[in-house]
Amino acid sequence: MTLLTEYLLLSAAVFIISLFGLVLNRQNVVALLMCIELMLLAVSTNLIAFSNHYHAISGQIFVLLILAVAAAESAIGLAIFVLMYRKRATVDLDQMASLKG
Amino acid sequence: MIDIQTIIFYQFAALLLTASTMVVVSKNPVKSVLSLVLAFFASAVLWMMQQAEFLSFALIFVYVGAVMTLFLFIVLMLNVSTLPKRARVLGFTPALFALLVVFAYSFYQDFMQGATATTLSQGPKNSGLMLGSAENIASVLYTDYVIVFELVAVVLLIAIVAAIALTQRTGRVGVLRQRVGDQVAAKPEERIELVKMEAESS
Repeated sequence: MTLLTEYLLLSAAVFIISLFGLVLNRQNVVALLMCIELMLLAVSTNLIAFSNHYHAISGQIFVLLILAVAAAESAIGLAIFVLMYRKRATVDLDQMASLKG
Repeated sequence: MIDIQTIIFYQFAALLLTASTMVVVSKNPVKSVLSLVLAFFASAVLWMMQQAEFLSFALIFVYVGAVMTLFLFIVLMLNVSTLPKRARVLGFTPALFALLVVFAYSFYQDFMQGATATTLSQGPKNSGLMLGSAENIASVLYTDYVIVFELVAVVLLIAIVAAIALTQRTGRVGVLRQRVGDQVAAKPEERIELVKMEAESS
């Protein structure tokens, strides 16, 4: 019993929820990063479900790469966020409008 | 009679959905981070049920152990009351519903109508091991995907260097800044010298 369809529906639901969160929290940088992590989790669940369904291990290798790249992304993102908080004392994305014409 | 795997799947799927909803709608960012940790645990269980044992442990160790701790530090570093207010979301709701309909329709097309082709090559037939055990993953990762593995190592190195270079405070020459440690460690006798002298009459 592999439950492939249930896994795909579940990951699509998590993806939609985090997409909704991206729209809802689009001024808060930390919430945006967390929603992106949740999206990557949904995509990885998809890959693992297919990997088990076809009994092929390549999908799990890709999930491992996704984990590594997501860790790097959140580290750099949080560093940028610390820098922004140090300069502006806020995390509001609406106030990052210096380059706006 | 429903088998035990289905029951466990539905329980942890409900937990994952609840936790991810809490991540999105929670107003307190600390609660949001902790809900994300719960979501990672639930999906680690789900991954383990799909025979990805190495990856589910890696998810807990790497994400819950390192990345979410980093998130928690960052959230606790800033003042919660300075977080911005919610954006308006009503204008985007029809677009999100349309996207949901598209996803559901594509699932219906692909899977409910039996279009599952099994033409992919079969994986390792190591009897007694799970599909995603550490041995199976290593035997593929260090042979077929070794270039990708090296590239990921380079990416992680760049991430380390970038994070340190972005957030370090010292190192540049010619920039005036406050040195709090020196100020706290300063003693009064280093700063001012009281001299006794005779009063002079002019």
